[in-house]
Amino acid sequence: MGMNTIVYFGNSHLLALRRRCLEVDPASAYGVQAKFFLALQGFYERPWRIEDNRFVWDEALTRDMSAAITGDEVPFIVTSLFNNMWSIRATFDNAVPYDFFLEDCEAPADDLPREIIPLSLMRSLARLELDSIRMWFEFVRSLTDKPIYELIGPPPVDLGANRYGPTRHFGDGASEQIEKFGIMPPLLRKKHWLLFMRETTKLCGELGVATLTPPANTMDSEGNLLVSMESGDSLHANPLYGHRVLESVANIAHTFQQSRSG
Amino acid sequence: MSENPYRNAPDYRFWRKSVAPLPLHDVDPVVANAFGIQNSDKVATAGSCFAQHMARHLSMNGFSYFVTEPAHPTIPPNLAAEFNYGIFSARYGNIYTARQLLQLLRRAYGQFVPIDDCWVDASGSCFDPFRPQIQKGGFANRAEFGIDREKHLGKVRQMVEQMDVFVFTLGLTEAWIDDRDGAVYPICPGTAAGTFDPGRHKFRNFRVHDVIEDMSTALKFIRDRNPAVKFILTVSPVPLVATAEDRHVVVSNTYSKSCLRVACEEVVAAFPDCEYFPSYEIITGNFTRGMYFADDLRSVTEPGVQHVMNIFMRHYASPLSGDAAPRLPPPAEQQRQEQEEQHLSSKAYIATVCDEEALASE
Repeated sequence: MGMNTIVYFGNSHLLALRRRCLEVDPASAYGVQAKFFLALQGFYERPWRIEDNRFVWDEALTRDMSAAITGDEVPFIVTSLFNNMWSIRATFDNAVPYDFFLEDCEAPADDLPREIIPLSLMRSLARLELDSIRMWFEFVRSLTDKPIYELIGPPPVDLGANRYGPTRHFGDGASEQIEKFGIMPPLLRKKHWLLFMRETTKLCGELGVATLTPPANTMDSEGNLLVSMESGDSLHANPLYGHRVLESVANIAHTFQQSRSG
Repeated sequence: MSENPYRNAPDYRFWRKSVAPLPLHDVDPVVANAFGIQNSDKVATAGSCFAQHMARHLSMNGFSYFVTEPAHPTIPPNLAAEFNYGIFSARYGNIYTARQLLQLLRRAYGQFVPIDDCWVDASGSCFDPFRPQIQKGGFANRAEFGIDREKHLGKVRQMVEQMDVFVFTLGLTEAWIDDRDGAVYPICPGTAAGTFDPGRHKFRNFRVHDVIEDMSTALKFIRDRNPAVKFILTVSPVPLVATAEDRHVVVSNTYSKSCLRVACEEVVAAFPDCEYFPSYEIITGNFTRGMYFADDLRSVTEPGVQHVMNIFMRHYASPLSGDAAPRLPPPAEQQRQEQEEQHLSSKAYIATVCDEEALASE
């Protein structure tokens, strides 16, 4: 049996891994090949269109993905699909500042008099926003019965958004929002990440998808992304983070291989 | 024939003239009303499940439905509604009894603090004993629960002090009470949430004098803080889900609705700028031949609600000019055709948040 190939499919959070793979040969560095399908502008557009009131998957992507994931050398697929949702929500503050309590964190985000939104409502909100990405999983699942692992995106860097938020382009209108309302305080950004990470894990469980949390050696003792891992845009991680994730995925692949050969 | 009080009396006083010969949708039991409602008037509603229909139609018809406790603006409207934001003027849930209304007012102003503070389930989620279904899944912990309750009671005060019109729908006479301090629950503990304790949870079926006293005290309480407020009382036409009396539910329902209807009559007679609006009669009158009830013979169908609200609009919508005026109902003939079509097509009804249904969820 040849060397394992890991197929990665997803959004911009995969760039940290891909950049690392451009720096080193993944086969020699990690003992596995890596193939990336980035659902991004310039790579693939949204991989579906609507025809006669039904979704039709993009033919080119379907063809390429199908060819890439067929064969015994691909033990599983790694996706990165849900990751941006928390960040979009938690980048700039709201006209009516809000906060929420997590099961394990009741600390206020800052000294502002923030409206407390009940956690069960925040959970439902997160699920509503995450649900919009279900289609992407259905697409991957339509191609293969192999295991799928969803990479949970990196947590925020403490103060990262506050440092980079005002200079980063967040899309139409967002810069104005940042100017008006400011960036969410770091603790509140982290709470959003934790909330979305937990809801993503539940949702993936329902879809038969396993989740891979960021490797422990990428975070500080408070659960923030290490400064050495940030990419400089408040949202994504850098190739060093990519290296740690590639290592962790490779370990899973080796375990797969051992179990097969054993 | 000699002169008598009935001779030359207007048609509406005669069943033969104002009920029997008329098509269903032309039956209008409102004869006169003492005040109108401007589109700018802040109209608050509370009461049993039927009050939610009133609230919905007030908004649809261009009235200023007064909501003091909306969801945070980041929450999409559909999700907010799932969590009971915007369904009630403040997020108090259904208020079935006059005693419950009075208790809410006293709690809002710090005059009563129930001993039964918070129900915690096995997972640690917290439920408000006095609005147990308001937060789907409960509150995460006591801190969150306490903050939300304080905010809620503040929003009740805001509603009391700023509303121009208060529409209250009386729903039930039966209630469960905490024997320790008399606190009244909207629904029997142990049904939607909490645990039933026969040692302290006692059944109470209010008598007519109780309802009159509670309702009068509640209205006086509000008017003391908002002298210009006008009141409209209605009785819910929705029958009881279940009775705690050891007798047939139909008998209990008749007692309950009769009692509430009599209490309204007494309260309206005693309070200026307080009117009775006959929702109950419009839906349950025998001229409807039961057509305004869905297949469960309990839920009120949308045509029934529309009949009620058309009459409400006809009488209370002030004749304002311009787009800002509440929309008056279409002409009777058009209305009739539209509603007839709806009748024929379905017995559809719009579901409401009805805590009471938990009584029959076994």
